[in-house]
Amino acid sequence: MSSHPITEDDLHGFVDHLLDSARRSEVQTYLDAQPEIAARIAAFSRQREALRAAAAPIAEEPIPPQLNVRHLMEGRRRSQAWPWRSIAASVLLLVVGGAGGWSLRGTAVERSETSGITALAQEAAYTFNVYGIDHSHPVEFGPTDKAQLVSWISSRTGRTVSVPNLTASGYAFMGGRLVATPHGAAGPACPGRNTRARSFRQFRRFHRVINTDKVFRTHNSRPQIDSVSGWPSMFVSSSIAPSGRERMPARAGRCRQSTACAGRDRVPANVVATQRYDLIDADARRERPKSGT
Amino acid sequence: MADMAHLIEPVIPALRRYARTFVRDVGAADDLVQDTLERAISRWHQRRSDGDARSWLFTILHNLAVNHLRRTARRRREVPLDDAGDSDVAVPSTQEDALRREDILGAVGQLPDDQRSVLLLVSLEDVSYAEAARVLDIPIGTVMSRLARARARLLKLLEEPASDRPRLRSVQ
Repeated sequence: MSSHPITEDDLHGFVDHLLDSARRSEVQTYLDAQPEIAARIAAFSRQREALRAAAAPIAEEPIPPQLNVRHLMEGRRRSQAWPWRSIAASVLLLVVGGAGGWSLRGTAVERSETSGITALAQEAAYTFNVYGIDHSHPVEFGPTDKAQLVSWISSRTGRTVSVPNLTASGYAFMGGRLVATPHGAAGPACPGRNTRARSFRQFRRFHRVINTDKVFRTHNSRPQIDSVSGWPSMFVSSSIAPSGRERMPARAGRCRQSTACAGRDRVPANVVATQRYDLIDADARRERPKSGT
Repeated sequence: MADMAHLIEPVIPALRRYARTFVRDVGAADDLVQDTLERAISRWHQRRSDGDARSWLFTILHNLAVNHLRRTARRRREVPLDDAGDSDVAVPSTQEDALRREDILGAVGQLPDDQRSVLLLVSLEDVSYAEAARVLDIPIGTVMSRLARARARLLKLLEEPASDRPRLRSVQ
């Protein structure tokens, strides 16, 4: 027997199989001579085994998908792939906040993860707020650089895009730019100019699967909810914002109504108003006798 | 990066087991594990390179779990009926195995948090005493005293309901 007296720590070490073999046999000898203590230690050991047996099934369960490390790593990698994106987003938000007038509270801020048309409308609004009011550099490529713009946007969004021809609706192509969205380098703003000298901005998310001509045909006729293979026609109106804001409020009620029809009541009313106004204006223009457009 | 997954993945079953036995709520436990994994992935570079990934993960999980318990301690646990798990509404199985399992896990659940954490790490997760001291950020002497108190108390908790049973007595 060693000269080291047996400690309580030794007894727990014995229970937990943490003693080296020499110390373990010393403790065993001690317990053999101390039946009451041995009974207590035996109870601890039974307790330990019972706990392990009771909890073992938990560790044998298949790992649920939300605890899959590879998924979690992938999610993180994706969110880090474009570190400037979040910076750009905050800059945009700051600009929007500074511009004032357009309240995006309750949509952009509270619901950071929007999708579909709501997201599109928000992005259109952000982009409009930044570039729509910019008179010196609203576009990065002008009308003479159309091919360059198309190839640039196509390569950045990984999708072949085209500039829709809207001359029949009274818009002439003015140019475009790449904008930042939470989904990546996204649709360019392809500003068009109304032939009646009012300028409009068209914001499209070209990384979405969409046939632009088809959408705009829908736009140019009467907009119908869900008329374009799952894309409510609000998509079209969401993607267009006029720079003249002063006429928006008159249409707000009607816009909100049509938004509700599309089941997208989160779209800021004024954004919808903007887009909707454009639509009505086009209709009104068509209703008039043609005058050399 | 592949290295990170290789080091983390094998520990996940143990993390789930610890979380569930420590907080006794399946949903909350897996949420805590998920938070742990996300935190570990984002702070992987902060891990001491000589440190053991397993105890590092347990440290993160334990701190999150303690915060969780602190937050929920103030209000009684309420579960919307639709979200209630079987264990919330089901009549306990009369099968002896299940009863015994609930007995021991229920008794562990009644231990004070600081004793329970030591007992679970040591008895269940085979964490060494020194490692437990690091995970819980307490001196090793405190680990030992908490372990001793946890075991003694658990023994009492498990024996009490059966006190009317004739006890075995050692006879000289």
